Parts: sequence; C-alpha cells; structure tokens
Amino acid sequence: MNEKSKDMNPKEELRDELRALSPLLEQLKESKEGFQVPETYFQNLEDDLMQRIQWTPRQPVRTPWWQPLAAQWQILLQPRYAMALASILVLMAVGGYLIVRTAPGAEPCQDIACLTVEEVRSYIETNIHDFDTRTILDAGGKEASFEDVGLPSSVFEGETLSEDELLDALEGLDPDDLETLF
Amino acid sequence: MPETAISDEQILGLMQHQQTREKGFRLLLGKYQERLYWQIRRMVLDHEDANDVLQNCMVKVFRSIDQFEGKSALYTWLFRIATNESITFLNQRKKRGSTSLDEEGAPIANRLQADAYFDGDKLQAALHQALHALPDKQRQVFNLRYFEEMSYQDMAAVLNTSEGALKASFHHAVKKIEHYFRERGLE
Repeated sequence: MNEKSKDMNPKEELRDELRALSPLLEQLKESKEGFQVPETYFQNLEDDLMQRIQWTPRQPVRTPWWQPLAAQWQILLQPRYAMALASILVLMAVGGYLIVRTAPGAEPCQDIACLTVEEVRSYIETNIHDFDTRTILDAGGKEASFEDVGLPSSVFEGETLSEDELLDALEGLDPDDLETLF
Repeated sequence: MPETAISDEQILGLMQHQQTREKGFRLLLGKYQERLYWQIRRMVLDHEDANDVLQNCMVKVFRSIDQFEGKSALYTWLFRIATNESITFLNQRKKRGSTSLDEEGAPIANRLQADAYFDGDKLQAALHQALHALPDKQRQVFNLRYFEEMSYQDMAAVLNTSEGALKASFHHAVKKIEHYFRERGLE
C-alpha cells in the first residue's frame, strides 16, 4: 500500500478505484441505491425480536450418546494414532494366537510326533489284532526273533502255518517271553 | 449514551449475565441491526425476506452468544452468521424453484421496479439484476466494497480471505457488471 492510499479513507479510496475501473459504477454510486424499508421498521425491530425470542421455545441442545465416542474415534483415526493402534492390534493378535496355541485344553496336536509313549502303548494294546507280527517286531527297535520266543522262523519266511500249529506254538509260550517281543 | 459509542466488550459483558442479557442484546441490536439488515437485503433483495432472515439470524445470535469466543471482532462474527443465514435462505429458495422476486420467470429488475420498497431507477435495478448473476462470494465482496465502502483490510478480516484475492474478486465483479450493462446498451 502506498503512502497516498494510507492517508485516504475507504470512501476516497473506493472512489479512486472505481474511477480507474468503471466510471459508470462510479457515477451510479452517486445516485441512491433504491432499497427502502417500511417507516419505523428499525424502531420496531428491537421489540419484534424480543417478543419473538420470548415466544420461541429454546431448542434444547441434545447431544447424541454416540457423539463423544465419535469424537474420540476421530482422534484415533489421525494417521499417527491409527498406525500406533494398528501396530498394537497386530501385536495383540500374534500374542493371542501364540498363547492359545500353547494353552492347556488347546486343540491336540495332529502330528504323530506329539504322541506320548503311553498313548502309543495304549493304542497298540487296544488294536493289537490290526498289526501283523512282523510289523510289531520291526517296530520294537531290537533284534528280537521268533526263535527267542519259541516260534519257528519259517512262519514269516514264505511257509504258511496252519491255525492249529500256530495255536500250539502260542500255548507253549511263556507270557514273559511274549512281552520281550514288544 | 449513543448505541454506537458502546463498546463490544460492554455489550458482551452485559449479555453474559441472565439479568442484563436482554439489555445487552438490545444494545447489540441498536449498534448492528441496520448494518446487518442492509447486508442481508442486498443478498436476498426483498424486504420481507430480509426481515425474516435478519430475525432468524438475531435469534441465533441471542441463543448462542455464549459460544462467541472473542477470537474475532463481534461484527465479524455477526456478519458470518448473517451471511450463512442469507446463503441458506437463497439455497432453499433455489430448491423450491421460485423466489418472491423472480417467480414466474420475471427478471429481477422488473420485479424490483414493481416492489413497494424499491424506488431506484432503471440503472439501479439493472445493477441488482447484474449482481444477482454473480456467484454468492463475489457478490458479497462487491457489496462490502461498493455499498458498505469497507476497506480491503477489514474485508479480509470479515471474509477470512487475503486482500489480494479480494481485490481480484472485486475487479472481476466490476468487469462482469460493466459487461452486463454494455450488452444491454445501458452505459
């Protein structure tokens, strides 16, 4: 703003501006604007308004119950808070998963390696008839042989043994010897 | 004491207390009602509409004076409420598809000349017709500068816009109005 315009009042400043921009509008400014109001309008306005204010019931300001919560969420949705919140949620999810996985009563492990010796032994005893003898011997982990328990080795070497022969052989077995097979 | 000599602080001080609230409000009205009325009238044009908008505006001011934080001048706050009310009114009128001044599609200039509360000449009516075609914000800028003779500095505070932007807006408005007059041979 130059020195000249600093000294001018807004009316003079406007006149100069209009003279430069639009002489027509400068000329129009000199004539009256044309709007009128009813006589005594402004004198009565005060009373009219006071009357209206007294008769208009005040609208209670109702704040919905969710508005404070929404305001809190607005804060949390700011990028830096949102990132922190997301990180916390991810950590909580991972931590929760790990805790549940190792907690007592959790879903049993499906891997055979998770079975205890007792569980295996109990299963074999229950389902002993489902195993053939060779498998039992192989799984025993030691070099047990049928001769050790008084059975002819030919049983599992292509020669078939009749049922009677097998029963006879089993009857001759000492129960303690039979246990050594396992 | 003349109403204009009363400071805004005194008015606000009175309005803070229940017992002196009405007195403070009457002083506020005495000081600002005419200025606000003309500001609204130039936006909505019709006296009855301007009266409705002004009354709504002042009821809101009375009800919400506690929310005035004093971050801006009192007039700036009042001006903003009045402007919002005027724009809301104009938008509602546009939605309804009719106005009290240009219903039946009659040009605003003709309606103004038939209005009991308008006694301007043909050029003044044409000026308001041309103003009505401006965007709301540009019309506000023109009204404050041309009719209220407000300095750009004060306008910047009231409209929360830079002085440079306001000058540019005013100049554009003037050029559009000149063009309107030239097109109709009203120079």
